[in-house]
Amino acid sequence: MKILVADDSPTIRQLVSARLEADGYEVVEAEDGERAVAVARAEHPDACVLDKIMPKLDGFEVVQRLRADPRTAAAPIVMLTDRGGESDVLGGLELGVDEYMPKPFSPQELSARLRRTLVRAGLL
Amino acid sequence: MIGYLWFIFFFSVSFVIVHSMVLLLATVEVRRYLARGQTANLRVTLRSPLAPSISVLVPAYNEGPGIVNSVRSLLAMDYPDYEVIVIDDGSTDDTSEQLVRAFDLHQVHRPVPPVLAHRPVQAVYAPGYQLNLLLIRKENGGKSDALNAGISYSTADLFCSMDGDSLLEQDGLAKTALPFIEEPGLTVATGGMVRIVNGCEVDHGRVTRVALPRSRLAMFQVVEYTRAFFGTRTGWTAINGLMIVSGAFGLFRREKVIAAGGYRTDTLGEDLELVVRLHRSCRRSGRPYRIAYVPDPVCWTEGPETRPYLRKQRRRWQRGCIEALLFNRGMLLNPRYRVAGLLALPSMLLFEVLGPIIELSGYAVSLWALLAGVIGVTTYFLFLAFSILYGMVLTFGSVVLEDAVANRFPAWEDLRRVLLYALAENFGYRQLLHVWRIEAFADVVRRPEFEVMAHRGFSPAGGSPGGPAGLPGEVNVAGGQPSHHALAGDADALDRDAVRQRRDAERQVAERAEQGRRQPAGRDDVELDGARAGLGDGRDHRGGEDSQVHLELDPVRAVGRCRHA
Amino acid sequence: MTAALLYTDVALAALVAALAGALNLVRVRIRRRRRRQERLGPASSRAVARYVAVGGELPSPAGRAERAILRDAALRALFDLRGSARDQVVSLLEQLGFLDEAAAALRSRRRPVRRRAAEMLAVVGSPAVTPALQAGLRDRDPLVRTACARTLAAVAAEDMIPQVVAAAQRDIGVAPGSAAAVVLALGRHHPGALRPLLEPARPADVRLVAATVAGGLRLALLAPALRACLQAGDEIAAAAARGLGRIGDRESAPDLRELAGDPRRAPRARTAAAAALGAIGDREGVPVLEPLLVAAEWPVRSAAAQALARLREPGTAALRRAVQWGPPEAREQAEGVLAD
Repeated sequence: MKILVADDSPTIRQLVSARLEADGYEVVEAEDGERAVAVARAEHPDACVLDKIMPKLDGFEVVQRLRADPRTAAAPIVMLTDRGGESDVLGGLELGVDEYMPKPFSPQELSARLRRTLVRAGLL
Repeated sequence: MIGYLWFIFFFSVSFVIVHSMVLLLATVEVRRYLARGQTANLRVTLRSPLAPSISVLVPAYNEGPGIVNSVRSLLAMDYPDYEVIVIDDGSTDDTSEQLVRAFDLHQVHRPVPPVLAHRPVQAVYAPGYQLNLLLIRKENGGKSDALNAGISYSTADLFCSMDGDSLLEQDGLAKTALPFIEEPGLTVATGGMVRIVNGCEVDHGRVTRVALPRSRLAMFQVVEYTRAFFGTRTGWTAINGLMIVSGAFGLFRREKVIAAGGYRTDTLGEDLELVVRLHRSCRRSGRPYRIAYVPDPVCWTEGPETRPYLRKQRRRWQRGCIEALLFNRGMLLNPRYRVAGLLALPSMLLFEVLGPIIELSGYAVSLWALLAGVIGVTTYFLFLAFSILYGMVLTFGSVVLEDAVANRFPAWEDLRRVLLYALAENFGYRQLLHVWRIEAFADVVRRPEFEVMAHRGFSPAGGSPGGPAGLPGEVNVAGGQPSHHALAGDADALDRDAVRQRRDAERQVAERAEQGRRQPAGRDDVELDGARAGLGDGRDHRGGEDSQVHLELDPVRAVGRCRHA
Repeated sequence: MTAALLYTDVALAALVAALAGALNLVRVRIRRRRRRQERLGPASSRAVARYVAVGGELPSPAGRAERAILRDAALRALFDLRGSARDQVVSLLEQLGFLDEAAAALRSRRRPVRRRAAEMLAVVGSPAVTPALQAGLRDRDPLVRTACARTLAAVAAEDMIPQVVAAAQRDIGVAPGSAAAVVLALGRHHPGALRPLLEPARPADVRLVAATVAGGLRLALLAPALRACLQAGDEIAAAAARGLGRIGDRESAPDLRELAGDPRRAPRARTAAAAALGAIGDREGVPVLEPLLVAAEWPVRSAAAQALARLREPGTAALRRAVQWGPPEAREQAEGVLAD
């Protein structure tokens, strides 16, 4: 099972990757929005963990592009968000974000939520 | 003649005393800044309700090609509570359309807030989903007018004024907002260090690798900026005498700016003038206040690489400086305004406004004195050496301070280059700038850009309620003043235009160079020229529309001329 | 004259040379440090990530430089983590002795050292070094005092909280931002402790910060105290009104109505009160909000229109009335919100 982890902070990427790898996923990383879309198109991940605020492309825009592309449209998306504001969450849900994870976060919890979305999507 | 010689001598002595004091104060201020070690507190507070909200105002005039990327990078800044307000200042290109398409904006109905006067707004756009972005499309009125419109529509505690082509560091807002968090009741405005971006690698509105420019002219400006920001502005901050927050990037408390009357639209130095006026209105209100400079790099701007552009920029700056002094001459030597009136403004008058004249005439008089035998050859050359050495001390001192805050010149060779240029600037560059700055006096008298447009109409939005009522007779700001500012914006826009074209050209080159991530953009002069020539076409169109565009500034020819020189 | 100039020149030249030499040294050191960071940084943060996320083994840095890099990596990770993962990082810092080092540094004679240590302890927020923090409350430097108070607000037992509250109050004049951060920490960990800070007897700046924090964090148990703040000065009243709106405190509706409709109060306070009525969903507020559509101040009119729109039916009916019969300034606002 392949997961895309996109965040501009290397610390967060490492924390998430370390946990997900320990849970048996294969992880591909991206450090900005554009890379995230490119990596998603090239690697066809089964699910994505995206940061909301990223350089080049905002997390929401990445979601829009992933959803618009048939190759990546199906992958569930978990979004890490800093502001955690209600409006952010609502906007994201409208765009097709499956799960939210407000920062500061716990890698264990993130992994559990990711698992739940994968189960819901019938991928696990 | 002998008397004038003595005058020059005392001028030099006072120059040395004032600048040494300011450099010493800068050292104190930098130490204070570093000793605070409050970054952790900052990060915690920034995620809390205690962080003031900010509106980032982006005046845009014909920025179509780059606007989406700049806005995108502005939306990804490290600050919790901020919105971006783009003010399309009557662009003739597709600036608004680009934004509408990229961010899925649609028109919303917003009544015009009668806060500050500005030219009529045609439409307001907001995004469909939650993005903190607002686009205001208005009739052309220049940068000040656009900023006034942005201030009116903003609802935040602070606003950030910037140029459409400034590049901000991701934590730039947070760093400059820090004084507002530390001393909320006191801080009125803050500015951060503006650095020259030429030579750096830029990717999607972010500086990804810092390097020094290749161009000699830009190198001189790097030296100049370091000295101006670290040696001068930091020093004045220590005694609350900071008189300029760069128009390229500054944070202001919105209500204080409204109380002072907003930006003046009849000057080219609106950034400088506003800060001087803030000093005045805050001092009059009787409450303690602080205008602070944060000695940390937060913003990048493109320095002109050709002489015509540099000349135009400096003339405009100098003219703004003279006008700011003229408009606020009541503050000069007025003990009521303390440091601002007694020290900062007089030294601005003496060293910035009159300095170039005194220095250039000093060369002539001392040469006469040498030839007439009034002073000996040894004395003459020792004095010359003194002025050069002192200039170098100022530069070196500033570079030391800059290093203490943030080491941004990475390589060894680069340090040597900075030093070399600090020496070289005394032979030609300085004098050239002085000549250009003296030329600005003519502009102040003739005010060429303002006469042409004096007959244009004005927005019906009447006087401002929080306006300049408290400043009777002295300042004539926003409210109901006839408009003669449209071209002020054009002059500004012209420069921005040029810079934008340069950046476009560089982008093209960079794209052509393909995996050119290693290779800094804009190094390949031949290709660059080609790209510029290609762009020259679109520009001529504009020239046809606005007959007042100064043709001498055609970028293609300008580049050519500079190369031959 | 010539001799004096000569001496000055020589002195200046020496100064230039000295500065150049100093710069040189600084550059070399900075470059060395950067190289070290590049060499050791990624491995350190990976080690921290593994330790935290998977419970890998405790990293064992060799030498001071490597320790510092590891510490910085751990501190960076702290900001983004919570729950057991955060505890893991704290335990890593504790086991490697970083907390004791900082506690010792709190007694340093150099102010920057003390400040840095206090800040680091505040970031970590561990009860392990409570005695050192308590001593820090009596430091000579307000920034050290407030940083220690902030940490104590998060980790100390209930009986120490009055001391923390006192520290916040004492320093709000000298270090307002840092003292406000103490109030914020109190609001997060001991919301009840803010109640005395909201009382009318307190200085205005303390009340303002406490009201902002209580509202911003939506501390419902402070709603009664915030309600009392509506009678205070305009700025405090505005902050309290905003907070009550965020909390959604229906019981404060009568007080908010009174504030919104009081022409003697500043527009700032009335605007906040009108917006809060909309946020709470107080339909009985319509009779108060409707006349505000013709208030003299633009912000009040605008807030009233938006609040009416949020109140749905009775509110929108009022807006439609304004569009049909109202004076131009009311029509302008009403049309705006109805169109959106």
